Amino acid sequence: LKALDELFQGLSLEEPSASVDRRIFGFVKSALARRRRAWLAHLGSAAALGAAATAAAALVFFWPGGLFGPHHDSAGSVAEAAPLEAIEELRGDLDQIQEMSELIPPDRQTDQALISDKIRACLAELEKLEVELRTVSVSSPLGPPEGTVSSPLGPPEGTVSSPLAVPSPSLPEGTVPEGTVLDGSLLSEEPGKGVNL
Amino acid sequence: MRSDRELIDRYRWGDEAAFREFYARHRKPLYVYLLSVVRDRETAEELLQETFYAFLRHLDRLNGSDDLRPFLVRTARNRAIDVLRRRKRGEIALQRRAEDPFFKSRPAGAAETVDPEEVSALLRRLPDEQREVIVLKILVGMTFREIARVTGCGESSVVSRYRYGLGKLRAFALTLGGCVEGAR
Repeated sequence: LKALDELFQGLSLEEPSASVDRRIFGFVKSALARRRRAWLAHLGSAAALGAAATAAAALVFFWPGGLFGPHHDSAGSVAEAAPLEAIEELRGDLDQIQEMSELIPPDRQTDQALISDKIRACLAELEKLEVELRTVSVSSPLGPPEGTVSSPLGPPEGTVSSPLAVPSPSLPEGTVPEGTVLDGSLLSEEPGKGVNL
Repeated sequence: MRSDRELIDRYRWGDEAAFREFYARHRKPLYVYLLSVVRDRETAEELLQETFYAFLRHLDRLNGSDDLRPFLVRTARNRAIDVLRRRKRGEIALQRRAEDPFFKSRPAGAAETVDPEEVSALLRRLPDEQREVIVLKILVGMTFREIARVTGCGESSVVSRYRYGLGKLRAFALTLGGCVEGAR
């Protein structure tokens, strides 16, 4: 029996024709392409979701007029912590989403364009906000106290602010221009008049 | 050597070369097994193709084993049985022609050795169950336990089919004028 068993070892097996191999490899190629497309579509949805979430977060925290009113605590929490760093972080997130959106397959170009538009709009908002924040910080030579953005104008007694603050020529002492971020909140109680500190 | 499981895992991550390696490993044994069941090259090739298509479509159902050969053989076997049933019902005509060999012919001028066509003929004379076990054990390289699982028989039945089959092969070879013995 062992001799018979060994008999087969010396023989080489018949093989299927090359056309079968080609058909199977063709099937494999298309299966892999389908998998890639499905994965990219999935990634595209995730990118769209991510962009929407980031855009929503940016709008909530940095909307110029304030989505939750002038003294809403949670609306100002990011700005209170570290506004410029938070902006930078958001910008990085948006860049990443932009990169991911470039992987969306060509047949979904509309989605890609929509995401890119939203990201650009968010970046523009961030840019404006950053300029605004920097203006506030620069006008106070010693900088704001830790974790806050304070008024560039001379503070009234009992408040924390820069001792070297120069009074604004256009506004009365102790006021800040409308819409200025102060301590995380947007102060605009009386339009056109600024806010008394 | 990378296991079947490793190759298929790599393929699932998009590595086409890994699939090619996996295919190269199994194409010949599987094809010869199909040939031994359906007996003609054309049908065996069709079934081989269907087997791999089905395998690729159902990758998610694979169990945790590293050796995927039993899964492939079971898929091939089910399809071959379908063909045999349809032939019996007359839906597919069995081609009346010389049955295709399981082994490649000897190249001209090669040293005198066993004749591949005679060995194919010997295998064809075996009862279906014995031939299946011998082909799966010797040519496909499966264990008795794997064969038992694939064919749905007990392991002891598989072993006895194998022994009876080899005994018959030897007897056939002797009556044919020592094809096997002459090769020793």
